[in-house]
Order: sequence, then structure tokens, then C-alpha cells
Amino acid sequence: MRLDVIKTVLEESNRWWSNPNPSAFSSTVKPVKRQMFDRLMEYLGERGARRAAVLSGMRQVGKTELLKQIANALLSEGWPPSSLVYFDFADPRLPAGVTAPEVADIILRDPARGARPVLLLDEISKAANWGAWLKQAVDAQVGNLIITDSAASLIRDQAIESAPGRWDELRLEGLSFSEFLRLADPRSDSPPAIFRARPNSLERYLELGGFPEHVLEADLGLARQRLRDSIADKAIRFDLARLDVNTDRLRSFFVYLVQDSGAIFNARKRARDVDADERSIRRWVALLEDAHLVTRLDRYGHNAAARLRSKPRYYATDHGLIHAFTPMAPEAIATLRGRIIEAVVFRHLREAAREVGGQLSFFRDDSGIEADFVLDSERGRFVIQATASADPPARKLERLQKIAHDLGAVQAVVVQGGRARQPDQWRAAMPVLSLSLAEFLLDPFLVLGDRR
Amino acid sequence: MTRQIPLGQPENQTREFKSAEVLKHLASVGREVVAMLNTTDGGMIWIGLADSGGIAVQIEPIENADREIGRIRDHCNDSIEPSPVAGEVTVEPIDDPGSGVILLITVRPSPGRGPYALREGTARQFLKRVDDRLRPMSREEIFSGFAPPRTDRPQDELSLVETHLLNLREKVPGNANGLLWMIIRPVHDPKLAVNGPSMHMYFVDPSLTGNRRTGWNFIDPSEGTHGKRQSISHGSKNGGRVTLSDNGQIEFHLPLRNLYWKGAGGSNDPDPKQIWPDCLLEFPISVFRLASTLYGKDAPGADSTVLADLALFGLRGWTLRRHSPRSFAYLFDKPAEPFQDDDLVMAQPLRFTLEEIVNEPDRCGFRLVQQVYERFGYSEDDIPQEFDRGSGKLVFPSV
Repeated sequence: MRLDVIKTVLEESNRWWSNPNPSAFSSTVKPVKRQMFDRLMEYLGERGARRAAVLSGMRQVGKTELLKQIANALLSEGWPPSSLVYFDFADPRLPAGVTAPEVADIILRDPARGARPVLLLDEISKAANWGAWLKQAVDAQVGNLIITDSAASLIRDQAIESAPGRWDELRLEGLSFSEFLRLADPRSDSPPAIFRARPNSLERYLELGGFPEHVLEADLGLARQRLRDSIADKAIRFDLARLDVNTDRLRSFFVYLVQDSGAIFNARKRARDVDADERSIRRWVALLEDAHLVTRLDRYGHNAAARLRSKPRYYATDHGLIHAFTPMAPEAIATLRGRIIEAVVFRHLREAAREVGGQLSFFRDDSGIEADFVLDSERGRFVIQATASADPPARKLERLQKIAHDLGAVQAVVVQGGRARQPDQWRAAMPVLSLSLAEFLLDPFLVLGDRR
Repeated sequence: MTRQIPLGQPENQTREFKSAEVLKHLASVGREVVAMLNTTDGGMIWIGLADSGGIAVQIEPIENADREIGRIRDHCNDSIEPSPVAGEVTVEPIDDPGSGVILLITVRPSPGRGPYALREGTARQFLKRVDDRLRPMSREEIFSGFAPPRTDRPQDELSLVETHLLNLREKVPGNANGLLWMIIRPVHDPKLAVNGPSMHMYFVDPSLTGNRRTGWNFIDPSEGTHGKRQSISHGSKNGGRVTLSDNGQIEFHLPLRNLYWKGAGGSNDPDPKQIWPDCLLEFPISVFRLASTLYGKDAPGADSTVLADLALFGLRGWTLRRHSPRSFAYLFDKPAEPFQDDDLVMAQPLRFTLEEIVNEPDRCGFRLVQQVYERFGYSEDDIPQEFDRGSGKLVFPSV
């Protein structure tokens, strides 16, 4: 009975086994592909022979859609349909306690799957014993594996137990601004061209965040409501409930953290604020970070020990969460935009830093003088300030310049809320690179002096 | 002076009775007004007086009389050619203490301005009242009204500005992909300080002009603002562009492609020539909100006239679905007919008072949008309900 249910779910999830016509499936797949698509496809080639790819990211950022696009691409390229397997361990029809080995056994014992099938396994952490199985599967080269999950900690824990080096963890963020534009109008491949035809996309992106489902939503209020439901009820109440945690209190803490996105995190102070003990606070914030709901940014320090001793900042991983979870009271609106802009700049800098192998931190000296981001890379150090202001005062820029000088940075950069069409005299007086938010979001590598 | 409600009296050459129901079909009121304007003596149209066999028999009180007066005025201004001038068509409430308020339209044609026509889509109806009936005017009657213009008399300021706007419309540069063009021009220059220090902020932060940050408005965040001696412009040549002149003129260009957002089914179309109703409503209203902000600061006189014109060039093949995209009616309506002409232009600029623009910019924008819906063969009820007819404001849902 149990095996029959699993077999039925497998049959229904892999309709190409019975109908190998690719067009029967392709119409249900979104045509616009994210940047991660190409990286994942690499794992189906030579690299995939030795390692699996484990894709982790917040709920709703498009992990499942990526797997479907990969399946569609393989079928279109003539990959044998019977050797392509998709399985979602979060499928509600599955019996309780389904394990990775029992599902794999059903798949691999069927001779129709061929010698080395492609296995696309969604929400792997819902399966028991998956880490040990994956280690064995990679060692035995049972197939090319791409695996997804919403929880980083589970993947990491299993990786430690199952010997590292057998898979690479890839992180899928919410949509970048360029991806948001390409989803909004797939007729053009050029995000700047789409932006010209849809200039309000920037503000929509700031308000809705990088969740693919909401890109073309006409009712922004409804989109925010769905986001709250999806994050609060599914990511926290459903995913994290398994970890023996009071999800109601965790949800309240998450809202607290997101409304204060970008603030310096002081566990003792937070514990007082939410009437909890400090250990619980530390555990909660670790859980939220592992579920990719918040992202940590460490303080700049000359050595790792100093960094670890310092208090970090926590940001909403996707800026859309800030808007969704902040009440629209007039007093909140004034600061809301600043927090959103800082979070969206952080999101784009993270990706740029990953690509150039750089490291991000924030700067704060003992007198409280701060810079939002410091990016250390092979090209040198960059000090970056994000501001909602369309016209930042000169004293702020002078301070930024001084920090850049003191840190030996090669460039100070301000990303500002309005356009960066500053009066000429301002540009001449301040050797700070000024970028408009739109310019930066369309091409984050501009902070490094690159244009891509 | 109190007016005697003519209960029990008959309709005649100068008196017409209409039940309150007629307010659902303002075109019928427009026909009566035009027919009286094309006579020597004009007449009176009573709205809210039901008749039986041409005799007024019953008072039908009008709810929200002030709002209905505004609608009738707007309709007459926007659908009658030439637009009535001050005193030609007046609308007033008549209060019957026992029964409620009804409306009286008084029509007093100015000599030499006719013949008048009622515009319906691209057609013009020339009507005349004879006794208590309407009849189409004969060819001779129509042509006799078009006397050659007198060249010895200087044109008044209003006509000059009107002609200026029509000339500007003629000169709008062609755009292969289509263009929305819009202009607002006060007849008496308010002398805007277009190069004032804070002027560029109106093109950075939409909320400073009462617009939504996420909405469809005249701001392009990737473009700058460029000042000349007598004007300032924001945008780009090939994208959206708004230009303010120190004489108060606001000109707005927008590629038609910017009116497309997504298809009715929620996805993108391979050939997207479908106007998204929110875009069509919000772009023009955003420009009126800008005008309201600017004129409110430098108003030359509340009752002075402002002209506004809207044209959609290269519209052939585009469609517009009725109703709000958030409604079931929008989703399940039959497919819209593509627009058949190359361009959608209005017969003449619409007239507003400065006070209307300053206090009710959304309603002013709505009147322009109404013209577009009419040309697509739709009625006012087909325009999305996000424009609240009661408050006269465009409000999108937000939680």
C-alpha cells in the first residue's frame, strides 16, 4: 500500500514517462530562466558525475520552477524521458515518514530508468535519512542529482554527518531586479529596455520583493497578504514546527526582527524586549537564518576573532518581507523605505560578492560612525552606503569618504534612493561614486567599477 | 428666486421633462440640450419630473444632486461641439420641500455660435427641437450655421489657446510604435517658476504630487530632469516625457507600449496590444495631479479656464477590455474589438476651471479617460470602479 502510493506519486509527477512528447509538458513551464539555471545545468554534465548540487533558498523563491525548467530543457534536448525523474518529498499525498532510500529504491530498481538517470529531488529534508543516502548515491554514481530544500541548517547538518565534498550547496535568493524585469516582460532580454517600458517596476519591486509569483500581481495588498501567509504559516509554522520550537513566539520574533531589518543584533537586549531568555533568542535567530528568512552581516574587523566577538546585523533576506510584515502606520512609512533600500542593496551585493569571491561586512567604529557595507575582493576594498534620500547631504558623503580613506578602500560608493543625476559641482567636490538605486540594481557590479 | 415646478403642465417648444432614470443615460440629456441650443430661444429641461403623455405628473427626487449636477456639466462640456460657454447651459437644484430635490437645466444659446452637435464616438448628431420633439437638422440648416469666420475681429484668448493646442497636436512627432499625447494649458498664464530649486523633486518622489510610488505615473526613475530658460522637462525622447513651461503648460508623451501591462489571462502575450485599464486611468490622472500641485501654488484665479487634450496615435489594432482588472466581469467579458482607426483624437480640447483641476484632479483626468472609453464604444460604467464616482478619487486597493 505504502509503496503503491509512492509509485502513484512518481507516475503522476513524471508524466513524460507515459507521454514523451515534450510539448505536453513545456506549456506548463515558465519560459524565463533565472541565472541559477545555467549553473544547475552544469551539474548535469561532467561536474555532476562527481558531485550533487543542493539548492537551498527561502520558500516561494522559485526552486521548484527551476527544477521544472531543467526537466523541460532536458526533454527538449532529447534526453530519454524515462531517465528523468522528478520527486517532491513535500507532496502531501505521501505517507508519513517516507525515506529517501525507499523512494530511491523504487526509482533505481526499475530498469526503465537506465544506467544513470537525472534525479531532481525537491524538498529533500522532508525525507528521513536523506544525508546518508545522498552520500552513498554520489559515491555509487547512481545518477546526476539536483536537490532542493528550504532549510539551510538541515542541509549543513547532514553534510557534516555525511562527509563533505560530495555536494555543493548553492543558494537561490529571491529575484534580482533584472530577473524581476525579465519575468515582468519576457519579450525582451534587456532589463534596461524593459525598465524603460515599465518605469514603475522599480517601486513595485521594492514593495513586492523578489517572489516570482507576485511579479505581475495587480493587487499589491493581496500580494503582501499572500506573502505573510506563506512565510508566517508555512515557513515558520510548518517547516520549523518539526524542530520543537514555540512557533507562535518564533513568528512574533521574526516579525520583530524584520521590522527592524538591518539593525545591530543584541541578543540580551532582544531577550528583554520580547520577554524570552537569551539562549532562546540565539536559537531562534539561528533557525530563522537557516530557513533563509533573515541573513546575517558581520561587523568589519581585521581578524576573524574580532568579527565573531562583534554584534552582527540581521537583514530580512528578501526586502519584500519588510513591507509585508510592517504595518502601514504613518510613523512607520517614514523609515520603512530606508530599511527596504538597505535590504535590497544587501541582497544584490551578496550575489556580486559570491560571484567575485568577495566578503561583505559592515563598518562601525567605537564612536558609532558607520558605513552600511564593506566589500573585500581581489580588486580591493569598497565602502558602500545605501540611502533612501534622493539628495544625500554633503556631510554624510564626507564621512563616507573618510571611512573609505581610513580603511584603505579603493572606492567609496553611495547608492541613493532617487536618481544620481547630481549637480556637477557636487560630483566634482566629492570623489564618491554616486549610483542611483535603479542603476545599481540593474548592474550591481558597477560598485566595483565594472559594467556587465 | 424660487422656481415653480411645472407639475400638471405640458411639454412644449421650450420645456422638456425627464424622469430621474435618465441620469443613467446622460447621452439622452445631451441630445435634448443640443436640440435646444440649435433653436433661437433655448429652453428648460426638468430632470426628476416624470411625465404621462407629455404632462408632468410626478416628482422623482434626485439623490446626491450635487454630484449629478457635476456629471451633467461635464457631459455637456465634453460631448457638445462647440463646448457651451458660460451661461449657455446652466444646471441648478430645485428643492421641493415635500418631495426632495430635482434638477433644472436652462439652455440659452449665444447667437452665432451654432450649429451645435452631439458627439457620439466619431459621429456628430445635429439635432433641433421642434415643438416637443427632436428632429435631425437638414443639410441646409447645418451649413447655414457655418458662416465664414470674420477676419476683422481678433480671436478671443480662449480660442487662441484652443487653436494653439490643436496645432501642437498636429505637430506631435510620429512614432511608429504609437504614442499617448496629453496636454494641459491654462488660458491665463499662471507664470510657473519652473526652474525653482525644489521643482526637480516632483520628478523624483511621486508622493509629492499625490501619486502612488508603485503606480503608473509621469516619473521615470532612470531619467533625469533638464531645465531650459522657460521650461523644464523630465524623461527621455524615446520613453515617457513630461515638459512644464512657465506659462503653465504641461505636455506629456508616453509610448503606447507603456500602456500594456499583461494580458487578461494574467500572462504576457506574444503581441501585446492590449491597454491595461489601470495604466489608462492612472497616467493621465497622475499628470492632472501634477497640474493640481503646480497650479495650486501659483493659481491665477479659481474660475479661469484650463484646456486639456488627449490623443492616442497609432492605436489601430489595440484593444481595451471593460471593467476593473480585479473584477470577474473583466476576466469573463467577451474579447474586446481592436480599435479600427489609426489615431484616437478628441474633437476639441476639454475645458476645466482652475479650481476643478486644483481641487479635483482625478475627476478631471477621468473626464479625459472617459473620452477614450467612448471611442472604444463603451460607457462610463465600463471604466474601472477604482475611480470612485462619489469622492471623485482614483484609489487602488492596498492592505
